[in-house]
Amino acid sequence: MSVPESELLEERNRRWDEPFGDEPLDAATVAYILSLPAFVNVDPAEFQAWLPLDQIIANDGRLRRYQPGEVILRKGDYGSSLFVILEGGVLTVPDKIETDGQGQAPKRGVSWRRSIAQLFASAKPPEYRSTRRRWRGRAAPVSPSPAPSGLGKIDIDDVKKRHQTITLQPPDVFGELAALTGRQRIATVIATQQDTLLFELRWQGVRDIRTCSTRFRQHIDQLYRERGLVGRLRECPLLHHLDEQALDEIATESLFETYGNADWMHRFKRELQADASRVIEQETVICEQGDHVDGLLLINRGFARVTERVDYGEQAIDHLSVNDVFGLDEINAIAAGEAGVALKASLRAIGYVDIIRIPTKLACKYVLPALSAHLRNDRRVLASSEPAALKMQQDMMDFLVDHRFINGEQAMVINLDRCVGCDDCVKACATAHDNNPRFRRHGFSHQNAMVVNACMHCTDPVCLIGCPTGAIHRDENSGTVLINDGTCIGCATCANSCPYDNIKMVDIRDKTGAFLLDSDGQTISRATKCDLCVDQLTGPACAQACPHDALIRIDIRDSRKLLSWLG
Amino acid sequence: MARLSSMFSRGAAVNLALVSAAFALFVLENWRRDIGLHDFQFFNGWTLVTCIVVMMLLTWRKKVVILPLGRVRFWLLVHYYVGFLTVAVFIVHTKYEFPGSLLNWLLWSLFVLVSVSGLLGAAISKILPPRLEAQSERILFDRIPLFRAQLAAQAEAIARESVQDGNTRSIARLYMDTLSDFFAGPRNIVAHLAASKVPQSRLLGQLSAIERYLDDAGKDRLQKMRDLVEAKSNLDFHYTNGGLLRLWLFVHVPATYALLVAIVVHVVLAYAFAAGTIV
Repeated sequence: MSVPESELLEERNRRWDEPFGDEPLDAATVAYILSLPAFVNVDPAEFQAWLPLDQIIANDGRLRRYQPGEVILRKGDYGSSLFVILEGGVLTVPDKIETDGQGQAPKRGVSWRRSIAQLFASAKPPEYRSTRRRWRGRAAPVSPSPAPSGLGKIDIDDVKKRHQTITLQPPDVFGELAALTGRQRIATVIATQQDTLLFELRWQGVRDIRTCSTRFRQHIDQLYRERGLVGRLRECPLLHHLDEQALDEIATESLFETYGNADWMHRFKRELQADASRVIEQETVICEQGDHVDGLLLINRGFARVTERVDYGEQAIDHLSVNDVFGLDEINAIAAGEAGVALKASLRAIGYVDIIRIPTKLACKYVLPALSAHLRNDRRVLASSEPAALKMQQDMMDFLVDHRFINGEQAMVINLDRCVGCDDCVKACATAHDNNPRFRRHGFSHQNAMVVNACMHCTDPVCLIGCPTGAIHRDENSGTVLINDGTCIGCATCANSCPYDNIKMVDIRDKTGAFLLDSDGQTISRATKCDLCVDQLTGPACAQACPHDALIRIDIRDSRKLLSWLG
Repeated sequence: MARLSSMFSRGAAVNLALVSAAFALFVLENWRRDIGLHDFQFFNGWTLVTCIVVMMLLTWRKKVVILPLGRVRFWLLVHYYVGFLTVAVFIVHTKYEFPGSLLNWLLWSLFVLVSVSGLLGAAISKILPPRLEAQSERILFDRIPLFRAQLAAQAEAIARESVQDGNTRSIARLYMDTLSDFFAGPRNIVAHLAASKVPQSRLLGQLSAIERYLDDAGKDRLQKMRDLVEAKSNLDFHYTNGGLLRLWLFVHVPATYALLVAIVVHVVLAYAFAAGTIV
């Protein structure tokens, strides 16, 4: 057997430098996949020459084989791919299930030995990248891995007894909702038959086929509406108590609505530089104070601002995110027999919002009967009984909402009352990233809080949307937004999209410190940002290193924790 | 008062109680060795060295920040509280007396320098950040010289413009006499340390005094100059207080290493001249 020859690779990354599987799928497999109902109507002529359909399938797809009881997907994990069943069968369970292995795949490359070696490694030039070698020759085709998921096994009969399940057979499709939205999986999926064979298509492939092919888009969107909507409704705490039949009825009657502009970040950055207090003016009004009540609005994706008219302006009184509802008080009043009920506040789209509008009659029928119990658990009701120090002041709320920091799940916040400016956080970040700090100790501040220019690992990471290669992605387990340096082509789409300027483009260098140049003599760029030190034993080194407890990584929407920490 | 209460929270009280208990144990053991006719100076000397080594762990922890050995915050607290214990053990070790030899005076002085600088550092680390935050938006310390140069250039441009543009000389004269020096570098360090605004008020007063001689265009320039003076004063405040937050370490750390060297010499000499002593 000949040893595959290799070549030095000092060139820009390309779309399929790293196929999804160990190897791209062969032509026969690609042809078989394209004959499946999900793809049979996709017209290859609709695709650009540089992005052919068969190459997408070959490089962005892989085959995976599972044994009975093996968990394929786990509810709550961040999804990034769609599955098509080729052989065997699977069971979907709308609940999170404990598995024997508990499924957390070990962090790759994280060990004491590696960390110690990193500490004592000789200093490298800034943004050094080792020269890579790409195998030209093809290795023998790799058979689908026998135990690929690492998510553990469970007893199928036990699951069937204890949970509501749905069986899927070839050539059904699943996982499309998370693959399209980058959100958490809404169900657990388990293989039920021997040697269940699945075709898995990673999200960038799904996105490209959906963009180019009208038929595929219609097919996937239809699946999303048929199955995804019920799943979404089931996720809403306000509807937890409902059975499948009631959820189906709501799904059939409800409307999907979209407000705002998916491209909001560019205009937002301009507005922010001009005057943050005027950002509200560009937010699309979803419904206005005084309007008649037209259903219960459930936030499906994105953020919305609740405002009240004060003199000649609008005062933000709350902000809503996924699973929050608007209009419940008013519907309650209608059900109580009040006449002439109108909306008490306005709702505005912060950037881009998906809304599910549940008809008033269904809200009265299904939501209100369980309302009293839910209200007891409602955070906004609880908030009124919190100590004054833990209530968000108007100016702080305006600051966080106007700058859209509420998107941040792991925002870096510095307490300026405690920060001595020692820069130990920056030094620790540099230590964790081969002397390349991934943030600047600088950012917008209000009172004693500074939200630092470091990736916030957003709930809706808009930086992911335009990435041509899918190099910027979410970690399946943690949801951390990461950049795959091996597939980043340096196009800066993510850096330009980030509304917070938290992604930095850098020119990479060789071991002598000289810039690496491509065949045209141009420097080669890569996108870099905070990765929450995923490859370190400690988690975020910045928070570890702060001697004065002046730095925290925090979900900005956890206002109670934020305010108590700020003091 | 609120700050005082936060500094002496329940956690701090527990930690101080633990330190007190450790010191009581130390005193008890020291006394036991004393009445047992052992040379307790070796015991309390090595206890002192151990405490100093434990305090040094903070420095080493910072260097291996990517290893999961507890947050640096924890190690700083250990540093603080073991520091209190160390001072107490040191006083016992010196037998409550001043030193009697040159080397011991050096050792004693270095220890006092390290302890006092450490205590001052801990205090200013608590006091100065809120003061900086209350003053205005935090400024990155390393960028202050750049901002200062920009302000100086703007001030000079206003002064030149006032002469070139008409008959007014007052602004240029004041600039030459006073303001050029004010913008040239950090000024009024002591006043900023005391959070005093007197020097700034004096400068603004001098600017106000020439307002009556100016036309409308001159008054506009004067207002811009006032803004620049306030901005520069603010910059000096950040430079002074931010600098102090860094400067104390330049005393504390080198003095610590000098102390370590002196300790090694002291230990060697102590053993060299301790022949026949019951250790």
